[in-house]
Amino acid sequence: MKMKAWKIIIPVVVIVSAVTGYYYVNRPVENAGDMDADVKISSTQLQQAYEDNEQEADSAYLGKVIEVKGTVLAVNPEENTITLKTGSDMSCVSCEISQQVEHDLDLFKTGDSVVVKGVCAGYLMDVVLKQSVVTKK
Amino acid sequence: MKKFPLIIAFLLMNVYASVGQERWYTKEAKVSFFCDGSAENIEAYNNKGFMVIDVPTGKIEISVLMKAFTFEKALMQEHFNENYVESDKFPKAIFKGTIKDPENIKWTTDGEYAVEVSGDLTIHGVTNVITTPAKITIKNGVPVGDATFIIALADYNIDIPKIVEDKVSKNVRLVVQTSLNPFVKQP
Repeated sequence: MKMKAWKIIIPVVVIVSAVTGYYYVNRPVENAGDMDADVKISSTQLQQAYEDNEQEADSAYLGKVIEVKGTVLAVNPEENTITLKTGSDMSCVSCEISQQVEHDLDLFKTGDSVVVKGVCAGYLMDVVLKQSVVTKK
Repeated sequence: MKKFPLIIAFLLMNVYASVGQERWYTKEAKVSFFCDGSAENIEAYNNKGFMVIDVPTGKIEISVLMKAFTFEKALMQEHFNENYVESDKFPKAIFKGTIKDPENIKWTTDGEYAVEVSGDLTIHGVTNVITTPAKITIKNGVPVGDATFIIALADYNIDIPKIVEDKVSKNVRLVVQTSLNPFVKQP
């Protein structure tokens, strides 16, 4: 009787772990909408923090899930990007929208108040957010 | 009708911008990463590179954020950031170089120009001098840059874990392909 139970349990365990492993290895890149925000901040404050001291800003924001409140500067469906206004004319918060979520970027236009949740990739000319989801406020 | 002179002025400004353009840039440079593997090829895309070309000197600069590379699979992206390039410590890769013989490029004439670029490439905190063929295509007065950098991971102190050592190539290709915008100084 005991042997019989093992004959069932072992293959089941093997199959379940193989399937779990397969999905773990092949899982797609998550979108930030499914993650909890580490930081909530305005687009102006975020850009200012990077302009003031990039290293400090990196240690506070790099790789973190950030919820950014701001005003849409431009919508670029071709680049799958929405940019947010900041206190600087030369620099914005550039949000690459996640491919995992269906977004109709046509619904957004310059001047809209929005909240973007994304993963901070750092600062070149703009602060870059990735895997972002955007909602109107 | 009153708007007419304004439109002319605007058109003239555009003409001026494309003829006398001394600097071209983009904040959306496309940089892709390819690594051949026996089990699967690894590729990643980054559409948020910054690139600037200074026409008179032929100086060129490209920078990318390591965390802005998107992989198909989350696990690859995590390994890339955490184990290979250590993007928390080294968030950027930067190329600072020059185009050889920039005077051969007629920036205002449509055409394809094969060039050579060389300069310093910094990845993972390590800087090496690199030279690579590149192409500048002028289309409708706008330059498009193409370049492929083939780099050995070992040159940049990027260790491949023993377990996958035989499964992935020791060289990767970084491909830059992007169109540029005229750089207009803010008033």
